[in-house]
Amino acid sequence: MSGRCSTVRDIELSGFARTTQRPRLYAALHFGSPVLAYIGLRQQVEKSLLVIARELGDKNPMPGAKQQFATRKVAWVEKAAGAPFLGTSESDVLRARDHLLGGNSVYAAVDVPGNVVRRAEWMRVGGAEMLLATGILKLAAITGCDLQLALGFHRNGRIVVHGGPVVYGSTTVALGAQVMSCLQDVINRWPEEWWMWPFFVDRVQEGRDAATRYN
Amino acid sequence: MQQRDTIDRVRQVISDVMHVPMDVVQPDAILERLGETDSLTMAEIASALEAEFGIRIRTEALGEARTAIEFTAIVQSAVSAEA
Repeated sequence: MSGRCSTVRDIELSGFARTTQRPRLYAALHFGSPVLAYIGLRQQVEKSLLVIARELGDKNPMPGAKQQFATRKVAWVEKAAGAPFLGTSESDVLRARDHLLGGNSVYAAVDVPGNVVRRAEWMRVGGAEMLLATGILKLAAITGCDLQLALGFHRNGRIVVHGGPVVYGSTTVALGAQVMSCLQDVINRWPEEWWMWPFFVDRVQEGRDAATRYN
Repeated sequence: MQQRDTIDRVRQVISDVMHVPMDVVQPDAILERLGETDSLTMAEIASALEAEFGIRIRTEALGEARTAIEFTAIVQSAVSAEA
């Protein structure tokens, strides 16, 4: 991917066959290449797919160099995908709700939308407890849509996008348990793609010694 | 639909979403005064009102609604439109 390239080709997708008539909320993890997963889904699965992402700016502070990179990256993704991002404002989340209720699908990182501190549940994964952001689970529950992990990464010189099991539930607790099961499976299969190890390894170790909970 | 009945049902919905006792949700109480809100709060309230009253609330209709009185007006308008 270069700054001059505005298309992405030859993305290989698997696991996204429609098994229900419900709209789908695709959840990205801190894993692999979430941006390329979004572009692949929009190109090959659903042209009307929208993405919710945190806005750049005062509400999302970061060092200047990173901000500059992020601004260019968002512009590139919007151009490659052919659609602007939805932000995390109340009105944009309502738009996402409308989009889902209208039978379309939405893509978002698992810790977007909603207040990630206020909306979180303790879940068990890999021998330790971790806080799982539940905003995306709430959005799935209130719109009655399916939820599916969408994971993009590189394999053998290609970009592949893997769809996890499709889960459905009417509460964040029911959905959370299913998502954690999917997360566990994903980490087991592609441990090298998970970004969270630096924050997690100590937790597993200490979790063995004491039932410590971490934020 | 009786106005009194409707506003109490709306107050109950707000109470459930905001996790506060219903008696705190006075008809003119502003959401942000009831507790912490975030970008999902309004979507939750809209969906809960739709489930409670069997209606569809258009996002544009929500406007700047922030109190039970204002949500009640939106519900009544949606009920009338679907009748």
